[in-house]
Amino acid sequence: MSPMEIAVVGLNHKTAPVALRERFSVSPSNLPEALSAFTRTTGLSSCVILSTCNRTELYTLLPEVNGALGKVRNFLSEYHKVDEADFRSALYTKKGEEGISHLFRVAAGLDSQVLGESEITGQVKQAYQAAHAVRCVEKPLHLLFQRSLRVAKRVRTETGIGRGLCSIGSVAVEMAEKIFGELSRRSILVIGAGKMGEVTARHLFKGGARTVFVSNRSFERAKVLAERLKGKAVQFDALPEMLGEVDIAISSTAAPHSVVTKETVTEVMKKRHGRPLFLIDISVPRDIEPEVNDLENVFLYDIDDLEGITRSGFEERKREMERGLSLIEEELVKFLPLLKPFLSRG
Amino acid sequence: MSGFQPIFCSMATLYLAGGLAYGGYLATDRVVLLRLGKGLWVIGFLFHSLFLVLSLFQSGRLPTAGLFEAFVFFAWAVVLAAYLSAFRYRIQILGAFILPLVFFLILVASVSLKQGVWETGAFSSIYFSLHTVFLFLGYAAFSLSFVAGMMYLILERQIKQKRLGRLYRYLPSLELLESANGSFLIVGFILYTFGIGFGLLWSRDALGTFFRGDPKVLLALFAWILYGSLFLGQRIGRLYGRRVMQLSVVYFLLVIASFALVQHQNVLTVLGSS
Repeated sequence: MSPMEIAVVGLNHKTAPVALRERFSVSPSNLPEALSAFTRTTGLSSCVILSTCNRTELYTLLPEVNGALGKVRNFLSEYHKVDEADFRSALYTKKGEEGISHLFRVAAGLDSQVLGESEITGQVKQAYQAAHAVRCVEKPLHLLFQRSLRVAKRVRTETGIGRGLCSIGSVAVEMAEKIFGELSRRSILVIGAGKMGEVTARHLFKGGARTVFVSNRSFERAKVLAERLKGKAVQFDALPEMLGEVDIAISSTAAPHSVVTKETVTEVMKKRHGRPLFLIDISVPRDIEPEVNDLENVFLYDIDDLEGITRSGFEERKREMERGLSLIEEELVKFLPLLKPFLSRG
Repeated sequence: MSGFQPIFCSMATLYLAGGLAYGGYLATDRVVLLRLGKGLWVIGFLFHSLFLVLSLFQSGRLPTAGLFEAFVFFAWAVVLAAYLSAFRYRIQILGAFILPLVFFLILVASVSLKQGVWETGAFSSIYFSLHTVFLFLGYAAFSLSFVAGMMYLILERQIKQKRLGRLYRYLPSLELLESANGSFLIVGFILYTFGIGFGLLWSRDALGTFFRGDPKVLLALFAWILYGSLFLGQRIGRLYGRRVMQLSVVYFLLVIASFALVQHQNVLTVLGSS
């Protein structure tokens, strides 16, 4: 039997637009059926399908000589009902060492659209487990996926790749946690019914915050947003009282002037008895007077402050990427000799 | 400390190396340095405890007589208090703040070694021993409130100014630091009050009066009033946040400076009269 080699065939956010990527998407519930179709149509017995919103990749074992790459491409075309000419230029193939290194980078989040994001490691694990469950993973792929998960863990713990904050929502959560610690008992006030306010509030929910109030000049719109956020709408006139109650306020109105003044917050703080107040102003022109940040126990972040932190977050991740890549190089050198005997057995 | 010098030097070196390891961790992010710092801290504390036990057996009294012994004992109480607080608050980089402080206290102790001890016979009294132990434990709790205060002020400044420096990600939340600072102040104030109480009892037994106007007693009362006002201000909700942290940092520095001054004066007086 001729020696085998590991190969990855796929497309991702760098090679294909979302309109094409979505046509190759395989949901977790469809994975067993897709894997069985793969083995049936290609005659190959090993495959792991990694399908996320940014990529669809097939990891398989091919004979080193006269590989069956054409069969894999045909499978992609037939199974997803996409003409091969439509995706040929977006498709990449990486074999042997290059393919292994690719999976290491993918699992560690070094190939992700948001550099260093951690969700991908879980998705790689799920893809591997799904293939394993339908007996579609032979020894070399077992070794490869187990090792890639270990490498991902090492990259995450030994570099700062996941550290820098890369979205306004994640900055809001991080700052709130640095001020309040646990967010589980914290309440939020959303001022204005804008999209950005909603997105930021959802991030804080994900971070653990539990109670949300929505205040808007149009009470009807406040009610609609409050319903979506499973919160409570409050009258716009009650803004000063609400600022006295909540821990975090996110403002994103379209008002041409300040909605929250220093005078208002000074009065509010007198009633809070030292409880900190975190204000997030994501509107332009700004809703909250910047001087509010001078008040004790008040922390005000506007859109520029938040974007400034995300920028340095990206830069920090880029710097850490180099360290991650050299760790992968190191792991690759150790892994290749371990894998080799299993590939030559075929 | 005749005969125990190697133990003392090892302890000081371990604390210094531990502090440097923590510093290295903050500068490079290498977890191995954090582990090393923690390990050196533990071994340093064992050496420190051994040194105190041997000193106790050698002199037959509590090793708190004179500036050298007082600062060594104080440093030990700080490390002990930091250990105990680590179980409650889990501040990973506590050592980065505590170890330099402890090393500084030991350095102060070393330079005052030549001043010797003053023997007043007071150490045979149980009240006096309790007085010293409680006072030093109180000081130890106040030094932790100082550390929590420093951490709070650094973090608060970075959040306010939107310049998230290197220390930012290692520091716990402002709420945790405020709560830790509050607990250290309460515990410190209670221990300190007991310390003063035992001191008054000893003074009554040994000198026939509750109050004598020497600088040490005045210092103790000065510190008690400072921390008492802080404690009261917090309890009635008039003092909070940055103000409390600033006061706990300033008060601690004031108390330590006057403590060193008074002890220095005291040793000179005793040596002069003997």
